[in-house]
Amino acid sequence: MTLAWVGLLVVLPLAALVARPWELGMHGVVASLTQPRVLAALRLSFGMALGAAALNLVLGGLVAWVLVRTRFPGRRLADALVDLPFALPTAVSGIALTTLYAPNGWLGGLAAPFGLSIAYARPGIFIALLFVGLPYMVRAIQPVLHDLPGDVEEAASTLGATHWQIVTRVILPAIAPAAVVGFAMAFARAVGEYGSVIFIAGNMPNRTEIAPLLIVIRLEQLDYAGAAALALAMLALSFLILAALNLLQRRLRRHLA
Amino acid sequence: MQDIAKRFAATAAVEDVNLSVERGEFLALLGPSGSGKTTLLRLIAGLEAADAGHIRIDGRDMDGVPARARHVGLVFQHYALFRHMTVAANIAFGLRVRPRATRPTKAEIAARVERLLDLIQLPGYGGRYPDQLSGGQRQRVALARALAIEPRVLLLDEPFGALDAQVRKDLRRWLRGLHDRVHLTTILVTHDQAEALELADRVAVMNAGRVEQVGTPAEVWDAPANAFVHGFLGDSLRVACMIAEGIARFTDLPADPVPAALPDGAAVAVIRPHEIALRAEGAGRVHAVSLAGPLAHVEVAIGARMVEITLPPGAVPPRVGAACGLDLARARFYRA
Repeated sequence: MTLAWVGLLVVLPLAALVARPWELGMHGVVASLTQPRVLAALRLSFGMALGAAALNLVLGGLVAWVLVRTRFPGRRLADALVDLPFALPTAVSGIALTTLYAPNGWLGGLAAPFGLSIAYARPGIFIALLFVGLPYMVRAIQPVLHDLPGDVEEAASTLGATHWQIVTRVILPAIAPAAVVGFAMAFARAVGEYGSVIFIAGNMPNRTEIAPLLIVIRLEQLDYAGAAALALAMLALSFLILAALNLLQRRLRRHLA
Repeated sequence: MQDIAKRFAATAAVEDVNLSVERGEFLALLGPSGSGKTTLLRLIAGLEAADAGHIRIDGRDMDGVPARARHVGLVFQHYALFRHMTVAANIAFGLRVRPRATRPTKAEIAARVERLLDLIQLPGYGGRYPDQLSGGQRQRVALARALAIEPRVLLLDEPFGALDAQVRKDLRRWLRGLHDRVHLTTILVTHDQAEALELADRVAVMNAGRVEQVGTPAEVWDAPANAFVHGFLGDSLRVACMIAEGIARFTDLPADPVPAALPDGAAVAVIRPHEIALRAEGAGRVHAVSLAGPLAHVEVAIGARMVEITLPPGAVPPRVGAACGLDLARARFYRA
């Protein structure tokens, strides 16, 4: 029963996607995917998504630790704010970030005198992906950190461990499996992110054009098979990366009941 | 270790505590929850900072010395093992985090882990993970982990609290045997009086942040310093009374007056179930008799109260419903 539902909801649409591009023939699919513009878009999307998820490991980990282990006024509000990127329509996030980081925006204006452009350039994409991925990381790590009893850290300190040793040898290994899950979710969200990125990216072919946008462009050009080919490539790459992360997560978790 | 003395004025958790533990001694801090015994232990370990007073270990003042520099082994009620590490890695942790200059070699660490695994009777378990062990085994691993750093004092915070009765008993006996062999200065925090009396060389009974009495198990059992200590050590009956000219008259229980060596005024009598003698006549009635176990227990309804009595071995138990009275001559009296 469960399998039937999963099949209907997930596998069937994916199967339709997999079936679609082959009307171009094997050569056509390969040719479609090896265009420099396509390769650049794929490199940009996956590179930025992995990079943003990696930085979110650190940022999300810190935010989670502060929310779990410290008490400060406004902590509950901060805790609620973490979810905001979940809830905002992606276009709203994109417009807000663009306003902030555009050369005439609050933060973009600070960077402009140094010749740095954030919006309409790659740093803008990175920041947008960081923004949408953060809550996944925080929410993945937070409960595990919460369940990690404080006395484990205290035991480590009575055994002679420094703060740094407690972080690297006790806390990080304990939250590693959850961090991998958070990384996978933040990555998955970022690689498919469309709405917030297209506002801030500038969308210049070969430079700041993300793969999902290129799919939309092809659809608008009525190149359905070409769009499906690119989509299939994204599907395959994402699946490989997520499967690898899943394997890693299982390895890290194997000793825990 | 000499002279642990500390004083607190600001916090109510622990107040005016002066205690010293001799090197090689096994001291139990016994008290109900909230009596400050765990706070005291955490102060010694350096996990809390005292508001006033001084803790000295081996004559050295521990003021401002962080937990990691105190060389104090701490065992927690819920083990606090590192779940992502093997048993061997858990035990070796305190050695591996040492700065390179004082860190033993890998071979030395491995050898010490093996010796400790033998000591805790878990040889061959080094490669397992904490989640693959039972509660009793985990607590022994936690103990080995604390012993690995060769602590100057071993602190045990309700170490048997999370274990079931049989395991608890075995581990208790094993721990006492271990202490008799290695003579490590040990402080045990517990709310279980049987545990404290069985294990410790001396018991410090705590209540509301203060130490009520310190003494050997026999001293605190036979000569409680006050009504609290008496009442906390085992079941007992408390009866209010007035003392006049060396005679105590019970005010909330119909029992005959008995001699009491206290000045005139209000007092409280405390008596254990086996010290109460049953009389054939009086204002009470036998409510229930339980013959299970080696000793017979009798419940007597008297006045508005239900009193439990343990009969001496060989005594003939009374009939349920029979009239009876209570002889409280063996009660101890304390000022109210």
